[in-house]
Amino acid sequence: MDRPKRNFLKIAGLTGVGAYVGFKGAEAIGNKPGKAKKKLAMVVDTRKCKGDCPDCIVACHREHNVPEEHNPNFKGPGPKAAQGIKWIWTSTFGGAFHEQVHERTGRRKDPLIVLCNHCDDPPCTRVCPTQATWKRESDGIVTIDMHRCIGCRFCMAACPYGSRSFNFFDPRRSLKAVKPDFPTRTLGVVEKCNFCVERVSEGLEPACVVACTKKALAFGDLNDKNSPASKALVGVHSITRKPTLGTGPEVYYVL
Amino acid sequence: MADDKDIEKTEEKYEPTVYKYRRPEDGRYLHSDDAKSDMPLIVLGLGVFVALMLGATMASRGMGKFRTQPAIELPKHEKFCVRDVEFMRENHMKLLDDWRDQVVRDGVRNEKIPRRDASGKVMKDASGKTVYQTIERSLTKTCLRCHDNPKTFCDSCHQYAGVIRSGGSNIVCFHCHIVPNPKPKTGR
Amino acid sequence: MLEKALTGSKGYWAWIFALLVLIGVGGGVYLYQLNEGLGVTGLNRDVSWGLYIAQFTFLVGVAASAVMVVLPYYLHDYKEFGKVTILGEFLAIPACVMCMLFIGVDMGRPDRIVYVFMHPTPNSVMFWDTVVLFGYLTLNVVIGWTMLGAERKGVAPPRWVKPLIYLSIPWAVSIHTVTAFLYQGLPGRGFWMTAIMAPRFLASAFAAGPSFLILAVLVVRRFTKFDPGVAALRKLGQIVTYAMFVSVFFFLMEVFTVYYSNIPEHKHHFWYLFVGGPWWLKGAMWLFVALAIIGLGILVNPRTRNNIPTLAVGAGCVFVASWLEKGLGLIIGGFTPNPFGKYTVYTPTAAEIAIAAMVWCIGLLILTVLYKVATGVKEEKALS
Repeated sequence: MDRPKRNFLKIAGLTGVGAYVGFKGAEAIGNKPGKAKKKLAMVVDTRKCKGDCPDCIVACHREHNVPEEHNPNFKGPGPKAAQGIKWIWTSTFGGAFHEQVHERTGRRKDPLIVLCNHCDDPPCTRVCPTQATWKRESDGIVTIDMHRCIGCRFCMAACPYGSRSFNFFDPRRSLKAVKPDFPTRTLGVVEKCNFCVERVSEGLEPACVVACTKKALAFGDLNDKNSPASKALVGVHSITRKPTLGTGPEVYYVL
Repeated sequence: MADDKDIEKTEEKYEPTVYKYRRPEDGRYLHSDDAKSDMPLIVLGLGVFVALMLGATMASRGMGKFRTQPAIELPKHEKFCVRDVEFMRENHMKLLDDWRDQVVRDGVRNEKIPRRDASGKVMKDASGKTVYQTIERSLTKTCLRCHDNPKTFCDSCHQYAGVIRSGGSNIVCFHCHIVPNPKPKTGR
Repeated sequence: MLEKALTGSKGYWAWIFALLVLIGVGGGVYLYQLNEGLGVTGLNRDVSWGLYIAQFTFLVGVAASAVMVVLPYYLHDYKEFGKVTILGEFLAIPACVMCMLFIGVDMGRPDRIVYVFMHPTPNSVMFWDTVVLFGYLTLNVVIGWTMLGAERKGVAPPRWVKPLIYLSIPWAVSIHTVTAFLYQGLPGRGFWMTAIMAPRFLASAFAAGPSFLILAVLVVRRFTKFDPGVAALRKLGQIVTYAMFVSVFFFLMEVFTVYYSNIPEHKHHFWYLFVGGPWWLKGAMWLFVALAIIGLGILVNPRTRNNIPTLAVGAGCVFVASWLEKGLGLIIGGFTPNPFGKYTVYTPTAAEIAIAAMVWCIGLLILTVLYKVATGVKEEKALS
């Protein structure tokens, strides 16, 4: 065999070995589905939540300095509402579950709150090129490191639920009041619901759960059968969004 | 001509390239009289080099004052920081980076540091063991609780040392982390 | 050898100047985007990738298409491509650079681009895309420059170039496959979730790239004394024809799958692109159909394929058709409707178009300089 073809085979062989090592390494480094010590989840009781009051949204957005959805301070071009940021918001039953409704589903147009599902096997963390977002092993919260995010928005494309928002503008332009203990973000990074990780690590419940006047939200560790979330799922019919995708969402809707 | 455009019938004789070893300079200029002077390009290149080398110095002229120490405003109510002064002078940036990674990426928010009495001595309990207190590893809640005005504390040294972009822009941290003043600064 | 690019006719310098002006204007608009944020584009929460990433996707294909001239010549000794390989490699370089620039202008925090290398993430396709793109750019720069330099000196190229050339062949396929993986591995995007995405990408790349190369060869024949040879043009025409056939066939496969199964969720993306979307998008997609048919019609017939003016028209049709389908339809169609079934209209803004034009002009500038060097060396060799 002449020299160039031998070199080619050597390089091909090395590439093969390297790829194998790389993928094995990826399994080691990458996200392991469902191995969290705690399995934090939220249960939305749609019998109590009619999506008609903004309490949870206001509480969440105030707690985390989320700028107004409509950005009235920005004078430039662009569809303002569509470029807004929302961590928790109201959609409709038909919108959130459109593969599970039919023409005669009565509640198709009923409002329903949606947020990041903090999936067991999140596609968003799988695609992040800098490990700026990952699923915490200790409690299963899918979190973002704002110091690391490069704003490529691959996670936004990967999320099957549309849970993530991007800072199209400097958020401080449209923030009226700030909560000083929680940072704002800069323009150019992605953000989303963080299951109030800063409150949860102090033993508090998320701001939306506390603010809900109808007591429709339950939060807790599903590995602990006495937690509010576990108890809320006993004996009721509950569904999750897009279950066939295998993402394992941890936000349950009680029907 | 129409024949030029019709390439189906055109037959070419393809001659394989024969490589000959020749002196490289034979191929460089067809006629040596045509050799163009490179002097303008050399001068331009030298000018660019000088501009690049001196640019950093010129851009930061006036930022440091040789004779006086930078004036920093120390916290009024606390005498001792989470680490001692010498450590902080050298390592405060690394400490902040470590705290950031420990809190955000590892999820460990608190740490124990030795408790000090009013004179700064490390307090010990009855059996002689050091007494510890728990603090939160937080820029806003811990550092800024005492150093509450970055402009008079952080910026003055940073400008003196020239580690801040000229134009006096804020330390990048405070684009997101809120300085607990009445009016929040606008980021970027 | 770069000195070849520093001498030229008035027309050459006018072209360079025009490109520099457009780049300067676009650069100013980009500074505006840096200050104000990506909100100055038409991107939004639902359509989070748009014109920039679409151009990147299309240009990765053009970059990969250099393999279409490298493979026959180096692996199968197809001597007719001997004079055109350098033009293929020197097309891949600006295409790669444009890809990186389009990613750069699309990023929210471009100052943090080094994090992709500081924190390598093997499970992320985008990490691998960065790696292979950089590698391919390096390969082409090293190979092209070395081969051209050796030819200029009249010596045989060094032995280590051969394995690099062989490596560039699977590497070219890999850059476009990895780019397709960006899309075809996302669970929530039905428009892209198809195993045929990577083959479609490769087919349209091998149609678009060589058709641009045909046009570039015709420009080189017109403006310089270097003639890569009509045999090369003939073969390139055949390659574009077959590749475009396969690309159109794959597209029709998608259409059949979607419409015979009649699944609403899958149909909605096509409906938006061809019926329900804004006028410019609908127009672009139907223009793609028309140009694909016209282009294929010209290229299938040997008489029109081998006649230079019609070959140029056919190649142009194929290039524009591929650009419309991949550069616009693919990205917008994937994001609309959104995961809730809602249609959020994305319209590129003037700022976005200006910045995209700036990147295209930077690519054309690099292409012009490199082609000037290559043709300058070839002309000099021919005279001596």
